[in-house]
Amino acid sequence: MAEYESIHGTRVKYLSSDPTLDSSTEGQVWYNSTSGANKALVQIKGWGAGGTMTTARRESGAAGTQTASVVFGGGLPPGNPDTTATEEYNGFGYSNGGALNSAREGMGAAGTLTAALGFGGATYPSPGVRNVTEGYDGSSWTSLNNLQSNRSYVQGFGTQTAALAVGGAPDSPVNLQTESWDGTNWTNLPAPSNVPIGMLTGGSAGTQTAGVTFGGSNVNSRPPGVQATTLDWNGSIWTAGSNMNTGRRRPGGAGTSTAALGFGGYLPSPYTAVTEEYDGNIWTNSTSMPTATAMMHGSGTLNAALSSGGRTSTAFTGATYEYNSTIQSGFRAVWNSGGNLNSVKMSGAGCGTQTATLVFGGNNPPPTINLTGKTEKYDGSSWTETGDLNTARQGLGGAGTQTAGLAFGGRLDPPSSLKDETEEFNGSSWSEQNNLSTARINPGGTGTQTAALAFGGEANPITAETEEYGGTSWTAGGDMGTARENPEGAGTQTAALGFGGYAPPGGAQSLTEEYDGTSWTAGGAMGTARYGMAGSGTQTAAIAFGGNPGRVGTTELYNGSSWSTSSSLATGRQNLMAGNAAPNTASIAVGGRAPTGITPGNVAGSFTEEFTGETLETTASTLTTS
Amino acid sequence: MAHFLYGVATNTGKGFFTANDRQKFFLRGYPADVWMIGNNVDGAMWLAEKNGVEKTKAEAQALIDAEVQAAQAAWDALSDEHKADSERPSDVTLP
Repeated sequence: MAEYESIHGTRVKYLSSDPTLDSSTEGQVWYNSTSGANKALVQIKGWGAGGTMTTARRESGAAGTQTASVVFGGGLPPGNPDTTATEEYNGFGYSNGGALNSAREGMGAAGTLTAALGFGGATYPSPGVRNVTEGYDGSSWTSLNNLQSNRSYVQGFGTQTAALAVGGAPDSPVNLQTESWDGTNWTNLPAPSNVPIGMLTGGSAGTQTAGVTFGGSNVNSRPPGVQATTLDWNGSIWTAGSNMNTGRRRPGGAGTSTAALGFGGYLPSPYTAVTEEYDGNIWTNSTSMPTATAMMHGSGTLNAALSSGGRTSTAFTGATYEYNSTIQSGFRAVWNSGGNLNSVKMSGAGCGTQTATLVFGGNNPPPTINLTGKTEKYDGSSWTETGDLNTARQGLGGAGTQTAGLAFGGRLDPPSSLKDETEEFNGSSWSEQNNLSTARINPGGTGTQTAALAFGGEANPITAETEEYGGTSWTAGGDMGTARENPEGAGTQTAALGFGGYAPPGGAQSLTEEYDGTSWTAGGAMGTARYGMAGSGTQTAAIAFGGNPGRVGTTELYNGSSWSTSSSLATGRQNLMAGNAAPNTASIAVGGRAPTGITPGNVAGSFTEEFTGETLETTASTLTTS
Repeated sequence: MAHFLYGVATNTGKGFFTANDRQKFFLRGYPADVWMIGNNVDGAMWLAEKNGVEKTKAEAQALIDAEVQAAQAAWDALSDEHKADSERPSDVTLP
C-alpha cells in the first residue's frame, strides 16, 4: 500500500490547530493534536438541483458553462414535432432566448452562451436527418454553412469558430467521417482522422485539437448495442481511451479531454444515474445524479457541470442538475415566500429589515389609481396595519427602520402633483417634517431617519439632484453623474449606492454610482438594465431585484465593484418595495406589479418573498478507520 | 491477397489501438467485437497482440448478424413509448 509521503513528498503534519482551509490546503492530510484526530481537506463531489426549463425536452443542444449556458432545440413527447425553443440559464433560472431557425433534436453543440454553434440533428417527423448549422450570438440564431453530410445524434465540441463533428446517424453505413469547422465551413478531414468505431449518441468534451468521445453505441441499435468505448482525439487522429466503468447510450458530457465528466444515459434498462470522471487516462466513478436521466446535453467543466433536460424512465424532463467538485459546501441563495400584505399595493416605499420591515404609501390600480397612505409592519411572518401616512401618495422614497422610518417626495394623481413632503415614523404614527428642496417622484433613497439620502427622480424634468437629511432638514449634496428616475438605493448617507433607473433616450439604465457623502463616482454596471426595482444592503454588498422592462424577477448582487446574478424572485414584478436596511444576504421583496395573470383580478401584488443568501463554508474532514 | 483481415478482439480501452497503429493499418470496429483490419504485417501483429481470434468474413458476418438480431429482438420487446425513442436496429453488412 502506498504511503502518504511517497505520494505527496511530505509527511503528515503535526499541528495544534487546523491550517487555513483554502485551495492551498486542498488534498493535504494533517494530525490535529488538540482534537486528537487525523484530518484532511478534500473535494466534495455532488449533484444539486438547478432551475427547471420551461420546455421539457430530450436530445437538445447545449453550450456554455454551469452559470451561463444556452439550451436549444430537442425532441418533445410523442405526438409533438421537435422544438425550436431556446432557453438561457444563468445559474439559477432560465429565460427565453431566440428560437432556432430549424427545429431539430440530436444536434452537436459547441461554444458559449453568447457564441454557440448547433449542427446536424434530425427533424421529426420529417425531413429526418439534417446537415443544418446555426450560430447563436446570445439573442438570435443565424443559419451558417451546412455540414458535409447529414448526421444526427452527433458528438461535437469546441467553439463557435473551431469545432469538431464526429459520429452520428445515419449509421448504415456508419458515419465514421470527422468534420472540422473553421468558423465558416465544414471540411471532411482525411481518412486517418475517421473514427474506427461508429459513435452514435455518445458523450463528448474538449476542443477542436484535444477531445474525447465516450459511450454511445456502435450500431444504430437498441441495447445490447451499448458500449463503454472511449476515443481520444489529439487533433489529427482518434485512439482508444480507457473504457468507461459503465457502458451507456446517450450520456451527458462536459469538460475537456483530460478533465471530462460523463453522466447518465441508459444501459438499456433502467436509465442510469452513474457519473464518471475522466482524467485522460482512466474513468473513476463519482457521485450519481439525483435522478437517472438520459438524452440530456451536458455543458460546463469537470468541476462545475450542467445537465439540462433529457428523458427519465417515465417522462421527458426540464429538470436541471448541477455537478460540483469543490472544497466548499453549503446552500444556494433562494427566495422563499413570506406572509401577504393586508392590502395589495405598488409604487410605495419601504425600510427596515427582513424581520422588521415597514412599507408605506403607494397605489392599487386598476381600474383607477387608488392612492394610499396605508402603512404595514412585518415581523418575519405576517403583516400588521399601523398608522397611515398623513399624505397618501405614490412614488415616494423611504429610509430608516421599522421604528424610525422616513418618507419623502412622491406624487398625487389625479391631478398630477409632485410632492416634497417629508414624514417621520416613530413606530406607530407619522408626523410632518421639513420638506425636500425639490419635489420629485420616484427618487432613490437610503440611510436612516437622522441621516438619509434622496437622489434622482422625476422632478419635471428628470433630475440628478441629491439631498441629505440630517434629522431636521434637507441640504444639497453632490449631483449624480447621470440624471435618472426610479433608481434604487442602498447603504448609508456617506457610503451610498445608486443603481439602475430610467433616463431617456436609452430608457432602462444599468449604471451604478457610489456616493461618499460629497460626490458620486461610477461603479460596476448591472447585468440587467432596469428601473422600478427594489434593493437593499450596503455600498459594498448590495442586492437588486425585480423591475422593468418585463416585470422581471432577476436578482443581482453587488460586491463593491461588480454585479453578479443570483436566484430570481418566484414572481417577477416592478415598482415593488423592500426593507432597504436589510443586508444583501437577508432582503425582502414586497408587493409590486406582477405580470398580467399572476395576480388574479388585479395587477398589484400583496406577495412577500424573503431572500436568503448563499452560504458556503470550507470544512475539514475527520479521517476514521473502518 | 485479400485487402482485409477479420477478427474478434475485446476492446480493453487505453492502448487498445494507438495513433501508431492507426497510421500503419486500416482498422474498423463492428458489433460483437468484430474488427476489420488492414491485411498487412502490422495489422496481423496487432490482432495477435490483442489476443484476437481471426475469422473468415462469413464467420465475422454471422457474429454481427447474431448481435444485431439480438438488438432487434430487444427493440421489439420495448413498449411503444420507448420504441419512439429511436429506430429499429438495422442490419449491418461487412463491406
